[in-house]
Amino acid sequence: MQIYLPIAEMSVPIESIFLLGAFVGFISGVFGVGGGFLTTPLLIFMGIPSAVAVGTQGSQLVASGVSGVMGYWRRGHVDFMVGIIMLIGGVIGSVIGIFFFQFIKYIGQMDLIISLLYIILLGSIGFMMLFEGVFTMFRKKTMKSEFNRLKSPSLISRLPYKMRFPRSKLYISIFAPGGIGVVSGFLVSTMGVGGGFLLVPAMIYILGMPPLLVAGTSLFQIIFTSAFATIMHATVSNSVDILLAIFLILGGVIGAQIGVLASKKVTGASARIILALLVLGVCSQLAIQLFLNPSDLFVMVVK
Amino acid sequence: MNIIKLLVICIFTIVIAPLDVIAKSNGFAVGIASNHIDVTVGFDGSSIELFGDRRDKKAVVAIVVEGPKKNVTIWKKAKVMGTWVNFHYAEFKKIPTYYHYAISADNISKALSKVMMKNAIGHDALFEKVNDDTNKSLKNIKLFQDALLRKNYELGAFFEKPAEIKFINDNFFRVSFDVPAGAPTGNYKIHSFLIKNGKLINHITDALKVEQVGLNAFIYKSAQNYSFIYALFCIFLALFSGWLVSSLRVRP
Repeated sequence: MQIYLPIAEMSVPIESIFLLGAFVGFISGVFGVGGGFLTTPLLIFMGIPSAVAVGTQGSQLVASGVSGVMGYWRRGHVDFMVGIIMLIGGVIGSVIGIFFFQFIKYIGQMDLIISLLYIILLGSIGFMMLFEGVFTMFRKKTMKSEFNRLKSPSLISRLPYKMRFPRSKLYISIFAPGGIGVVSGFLVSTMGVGGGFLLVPAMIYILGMPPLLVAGTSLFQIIFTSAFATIMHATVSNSVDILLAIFLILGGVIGAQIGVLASKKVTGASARIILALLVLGVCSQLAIQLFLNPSDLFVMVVK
Repeated sequence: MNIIKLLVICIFTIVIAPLDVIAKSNGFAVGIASNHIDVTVGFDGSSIELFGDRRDKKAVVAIVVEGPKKNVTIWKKAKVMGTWVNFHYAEFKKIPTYYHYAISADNISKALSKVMMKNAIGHDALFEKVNDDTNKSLKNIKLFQDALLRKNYELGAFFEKPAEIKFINDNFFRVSFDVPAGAPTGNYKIHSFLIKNGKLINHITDALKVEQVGLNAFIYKSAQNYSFIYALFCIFLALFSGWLVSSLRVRP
């Protein structure tokens, strides 16, 4: 069945949007990742304009962030102080991201820059996961034993405006969590990804937060940062398609439920390798367009 | 078949072709079956049905349907440091976002082609007002023009082959123009030309609106006019569905 998307102003088969949402929801259910890094490129492959794909993805992140954070919140695994400082950074990062987004649109290089950012992002996550999966498989030991809390690097400890964060037992400059927030806000508004895969290690290694609090806190700040990015996208570039969002979320809900059930059976190193190969597959698809001969040399931009 | 013909002629005579109109307009009249195309949630393309009458059966009829005009930039990729980057470009001013035409002549004479160029009939005529600030040679510009046409064929906004003018008898005719699901919304113009011996005898312009209606229109207008409230609503919806998911979640 075809459905006409009012903001993207195009007709798409509703089943494919629903299946895309379900597929990404399944992945996020199985692996506990947000899945935004898959949704945006897959939407672009389907022919949805990249501006609408990125803009709409923000509201999707709000939904998955809320559903994720509830569990952590109930168990008290959210450091709201760190989260609030991070989301202030996130708001700043979103504003920078939106203007960067408008700028690359203006110079006519949006597809190139978004693709490049995605290739870097997906390439690095994919290889990291592949490496970790293979490593775990052969060593028969998880990498987690090496995830020890490190002392924050000396550069971070020398930054001014220190503040006490009692929940995480930290005394650090507000620029450290704020800076991580800026990066997160930038990622949300330019690429439509929450960036949990980047935030989590950064919060452990750079801030030195207790790993127990990290996931909940990063989800907490992603909700607000992506909500803010959604408002910016909707008001600055009118690129949030609510119908698209509804079908993605609907598919995602069902996919995630199946994913959680399936996760009992498919966890382990082999599953991680499968996810890594999937991410690398999407990455290479984008890279082929950019580095090998493109299927079409011409691009049309209507103003 | 005869019944259908009769029906078409009946509709035509009742609805769109009072005789005095034909007389006043040099023996040429056209009418569109509907001047509105509704884009609903389930919109999967439509068509523009046009009926017409010409008194002189030797005259050539040409119909052009144009969507709202916009400026178009065509980029050509080039390899820069191993990466394919949008590099060369050509700008075209006021290119219709939808274009379809029909002409009743089998052979295009030189004189006819001149009239066609002058009145934007046919794809070649679209580029009359090409903006040449890119300083490209004529051959190069042709490359960009071809790319523009090809891109629009792929989008379904232009059509490689003109539509067919079907004559019911020597005078009455009908044309059907496909409007694909991806057709741009906005004000369309339908130009009908009557040409004889390489001279334009008559030109009639009709308007048609392709517009989102119902839920789609509501969403589109809210997003345009009340974008902040629209954004808040999107976020509320996301918050609600996120909460719903977390409370329904299957706990392994």
